[in-house]
Formats: sequence, structure tokens, C-alpha cells
Amino acid sequence: MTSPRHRLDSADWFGKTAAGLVLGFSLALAVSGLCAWLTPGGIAGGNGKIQFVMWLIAPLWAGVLCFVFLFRDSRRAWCWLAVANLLAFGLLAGVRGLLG
Amino acid sequence: MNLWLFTLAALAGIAGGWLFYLAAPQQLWRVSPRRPGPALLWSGAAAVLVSLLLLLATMGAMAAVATWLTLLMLVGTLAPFLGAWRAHRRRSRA
Amino acid sequence: MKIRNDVIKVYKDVHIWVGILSGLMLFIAFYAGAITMFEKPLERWATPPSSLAAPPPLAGAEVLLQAVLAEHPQAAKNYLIVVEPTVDAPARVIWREPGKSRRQFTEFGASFADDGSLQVEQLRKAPVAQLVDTLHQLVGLPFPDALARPIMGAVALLYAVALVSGLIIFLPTLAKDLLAMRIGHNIKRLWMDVHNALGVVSLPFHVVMALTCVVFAFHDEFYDVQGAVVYEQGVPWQRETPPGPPTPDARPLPAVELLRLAHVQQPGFEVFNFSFKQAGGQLEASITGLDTRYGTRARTYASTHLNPYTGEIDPHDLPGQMEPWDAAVNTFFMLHFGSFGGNPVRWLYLLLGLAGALLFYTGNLLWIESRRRKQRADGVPEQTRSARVLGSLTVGVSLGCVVGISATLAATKWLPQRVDNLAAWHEGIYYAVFVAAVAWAFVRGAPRAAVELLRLAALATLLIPLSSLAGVWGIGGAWHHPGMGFIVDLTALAAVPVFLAIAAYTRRRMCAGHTDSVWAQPASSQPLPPSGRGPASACQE
Repeated sequence: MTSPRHRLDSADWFGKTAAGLVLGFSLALAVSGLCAWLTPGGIAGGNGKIQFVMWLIAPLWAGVLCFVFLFRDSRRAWCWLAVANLLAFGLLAGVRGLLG
Repeated sequence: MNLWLFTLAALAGIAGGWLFYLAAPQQLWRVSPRRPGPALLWSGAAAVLVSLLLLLATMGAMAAVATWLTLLMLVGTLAPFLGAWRAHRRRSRA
Repeated sequence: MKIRNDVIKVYKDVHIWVGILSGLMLFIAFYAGAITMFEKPLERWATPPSSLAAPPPLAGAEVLLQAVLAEHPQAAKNYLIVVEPTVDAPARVIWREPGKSRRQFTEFGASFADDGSLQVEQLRKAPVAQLVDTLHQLVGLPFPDALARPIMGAVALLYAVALVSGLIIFLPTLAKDLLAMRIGHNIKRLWMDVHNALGVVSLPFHVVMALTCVVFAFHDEFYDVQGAVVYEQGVPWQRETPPGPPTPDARPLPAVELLRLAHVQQPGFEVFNFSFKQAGGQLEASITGLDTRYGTRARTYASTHLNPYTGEIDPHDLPGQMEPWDAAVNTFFMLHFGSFGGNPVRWLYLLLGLAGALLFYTGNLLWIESRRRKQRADGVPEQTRSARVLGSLTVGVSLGCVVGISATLAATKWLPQRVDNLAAWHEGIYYAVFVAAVAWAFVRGAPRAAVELLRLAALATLLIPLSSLAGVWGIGGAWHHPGMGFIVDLTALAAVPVFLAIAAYTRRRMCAGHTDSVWAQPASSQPLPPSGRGPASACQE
């Protein structure tokens, strides 16, 4: 993410935090969806699994929010997280098409 | 839950956590000119293992591991304060 | 472990700012949460004695129930048969009538008077334990749930970021700093070691708290978006249909028999009560109790369906017998609530919770300490305005919470004879004390206010066992229940010397510590406090 010459700083904290909050949440949502479809039991895994999949959002979202400050600036944070979102939602749509 | 086993497990856990603290280079409880050897570390590991096994014998697996970690966290949190307290007393007596 | 300097610098900034934003709310959440570990004993301690006659034996529960249903047929919709009546559930048969909202209901208990007539009482479960729990859940904010809960969720996210950023800062010096406690002239170093000692070893505990709180704040929203994005047609909850009577003319078993069968099926499961619902000519039942070998998803009990006609327990909602997914979710709840291993683990959680509260307190102290303007040759510099403000805020909010909780608990045994709306009074007392403490901290300045508020905390906490003592002598409508309730009083009594010791330490620092600190007594250049006493008077007592 960062070239050796570049030094990370805190100047862009607002943009990075916003990216982590918004795109971090949507990424967590998509990944939790993938877990719902692809883990044992599938999408109809019962009430326990429904709750577990909901719980997954918390660590995923908080995880992205914690490490979003490693991006060099907020533009890169938004771009990379957008790419990750596209990938995750694309996979989710594919999986839903295949298994749904 | 068997309260005797639980008490034994707690004692073993406290002892193990405490031995870990004594094995740390930063410990303040004992005055020792040289770094403590690996014996402390190994006996500490043995004690916490015994503690875990005893807990597993009297509780469900999740609850046993959770109880074990809770106990170790608390001992590890309190130990530096006890050590500092003793070092402080030692110093004010000297 | 090597981490680049610029990364450390960024995460230091992050840690400082999320800490400042969330620290004081987290202090309240942890202090109130530590007390909430013993919500049930506190509730029992705080509940006034029931006027009902002693409950009939369990074998007589059905006779009592028939008498209740004859006079109060609405009780059939939701009633309990209590196996071991306690102070907060003082009747063999209790029923619930719905209140204003979905989760609110009024409880009534019934017994037989000496002349054999039916006695009914609206149960007076004390609201003060619930107040402490609500302070815990809503991080001390006096707002309606709909506003305070998302703020709590945001605080939980900040808390998660604070934990990770704090760990990142700590990692490079882990080998040198782990378990260290360097007492010396460098007071910032010492506070840093204290902060690390409180935060590093108990990190897993804190991670659990942060993540579970994010879920507790936002679960409805999470389900809503998952229902729209992940699942085909909303969240596919499966509804369970309770088993009907085996034959049309089957009769429900008496509670004594249900209890016997429960012991046979679930040895080790201590049964608290059986609850019943009559709907459409059919009886639905569940069994509530606890097996301390397993953690529970509710704070103090586990509950599952029971076939009232056969006594058969459906084990799949019981901890230790769940499907893997349910067991995992059950674990998340139990790790937050400390609802495993019974009271021993509750004490451990209480101590870890108090350590957590101190973690946030020391975080603020560090912020102040690192902004200290050091003494130079030309005299003692004035400390920055921001350091003084944060000092007052830290002292006022945290000690205000401590004094407020003690004060409202101390009022518990005096209020029921004098006022009607207990919950409002308890809340009023807490917030009045809290606001006054914050104001006091700004008026008096952090150091003097800290000493005074700590002494006030000692006094307010001492009033708690004194109110029970008044109950022993039957003074002023106070009461004292026999049994284990005295532990609440003992705990409060034990806290008194602790508050006094911290007060003495703070005063020593104010009078004899660095003069170039917000903790020193205010310099003579500052205006006199409104009390009119000289600035040095605090040290001349």
C-alpha cells in the first residue's frame, strides 16, 4: 500500500475513518453473506446460524475500521475498499445465482 | 459444577499465572541479580495446564476455557501491582 | 516486533483521539457493568419484603393456581410456578399482565392467608438494579434508548479501534514493557505502565466486550440489511411449534412431577421455575433454571421448552446440548455477561470490569500528563486550558458516576415508604448527584474536587450498609432480608476505605507532588474559589 519513501501521517483521518465506516460496513455485510451461503448448512442453516452470521458483521466491520488508517490517503482507502466491495458483492451475487 | 475441583483449578491457575509473572524479566516481587531460569516458566506452564484440565473435568469445554482465561487475565493484570507494591515497601524500608 | 515509526505515530494519534472521545462513557459503562454482575443479589437486597403469607409447598401449587385462575382468569395467559420462592419472586404462583410496551409487564404474586383466603399482591421488584444496568447499557447517557443505543454502538466501535491501536503502539516495546511497573520520578512512565498493565493482559476480555457491544447496539439494523441483501426473502427465521397434548383428554402434570422428571432428564440443572401459557385450549410450558457448568445466553438463567403433559424437556436450547451454531452464539453472550461458572466467575468479571474502568481513567490521566507544562527557571507555568478542562471533566464524570450510584443505592431502603415512582426517584437522585459532581469539579478544579468527591463517595457508600443496619432495627421503613443479602452491604463497606485511600493519595499529590501539574493545588495567581477559602486551605486541614 505504501512505497518505502512514503511516510504515513494522520492528516487524512476523516476521509479514512469515513471509508472504514461506510465501505467497511458494506464489505462486512457482503462477507457475512458469503459465510451464510458457503458454510455448512447453507442459507437455510437454522436460527442459530442466522444469528451467528449477524454476529460476524461486528468483527469484520471493526477490523476494517481498525486498519483503514494504514492506507496512504483517503482516496486510496475509498478506492481499495470499493474494489474489495465490488469483488465481495460480485461473489455474493454469483453464489446466490448458483445456489439460490 | 464440583466446587472442590473448581477451587483446586483456581488455585493452580493463580499459582501458574504468578509463576509466569515471576519468570518475567520485569517482575518486581523478588530481588534477583540474575535473570530467572526456564524452570519458573515450565512450572508455571504445568500449573496453568493442570488448572485447565481440572476445569475441563468439572465444566463444559467453552465455559472451562473461558473461566481459565478470565482467571489468567486477572492474575496477569494484578501481578504487576503486587510486585510494585512490594518493591515500593522494600525501597522505603531500605 | 518491529513496526515502522510512522505507523506507530499514526496509531498513537488514533489511540489518543478515540480514547478522549469514548473514555469517560466507557468508564461509566464498566463501573456500572461491574456492579451489574451482581444485579440479581442487588435486586433482592433492594426489594422490600412481600406482604404475602409464606408460600404453600410445591405440591400445593396447583390448588393455589386454581384459586388464582378462578378470581383472575387473565392470569392463564402467562403464569409461573416458582420452585424456590425468593425475595424478588416471593410467591409460589406469579402471573404477568402486559404493560405499555412489548417487554413491560406487571407481575402479581399469590398465596393463601392463614384463614385460607386468596392473597394477591402486585410484586414490588426494586428498580434500582435495573437503573445501574441501564447506565451500563447506555454508557450513562440520560437519553431515550433510541438515541442512546446508537451512541453506545459508536462508542463500542471507537473502543475496538482504541484496543487495536493501543496494541499496535505497545507491540514494539512489548519485550521491555510487558508486566513492567516502573516506580520512579517519571510519573508519566508510571501511569503508562499502569495503563498497559490494565489493558494488555486483559485484551481478550476487552475485545469481547467491544465486539459484543457493537452487536448489542445494532443487531436490529444488521438483521434488516442482511434480510435485504443476503437472504432471498428477508431473514428466514424458523418458528417452532410446541408439541400439543399427546391425547385430546391429556391433563398437564403437576409441578412436583415436572420437577422430578426434570431432574431425571437434566441432572445438574437447578430448576428456578416453570412458566405456562394457555392458548387455544392448549398449554405451552417452558422450564427456567441454571447449570453452572455451562454458560448461558441470558445473564442468570437458561430456559427451554417443556411438554407440560409428559414432562419432556426439549434440550436443544440448553447450553451444553446445542447445535454448533447456537453454541457459538451462546458463547458470545456468555463471554459478555460472565454467565458461566456461577458466582466465582462473577467476582472475576467484577474485578476485570473495575480494572477496565481504571484503564479508561488512566488513559485520560496520561493525556493530561503528556500535555503538562514543565517548571522552568522563571517559575511555574500555567497549565493549558485543555488539560485543566479534561482534568475536571475526568474527575467530575467518573467520580460523579461512582458517587451517584452509591447515593441512589443508599436511598433504596428509604424511598418505598415515602414516594410512589421509585424508578424516577432513583434516576433523579443519580443524575442530580452526577451533574452536581461534574459542576463541582469545574468550580473547584480537578485536584481539590477529586479529593472531595472521593470522600463523598466513601460517605455515600457507607450509607448503603447503614441503611441495612437501619432495617435490622426497623427504623424508618427500611428493611433487611435474612440470607446472603449482607454481602451487598459488606462489599459496599469494603469499598469505603478504598475510596478514602485514593482520596489520601490524591491529596498527597496535590500538596506535595509537582507544582507544575493540573494535580497540584491551584496556584495563588488563580482567583479564589467561590467558597472563599484560600487556595492553600485544602492542604492545611
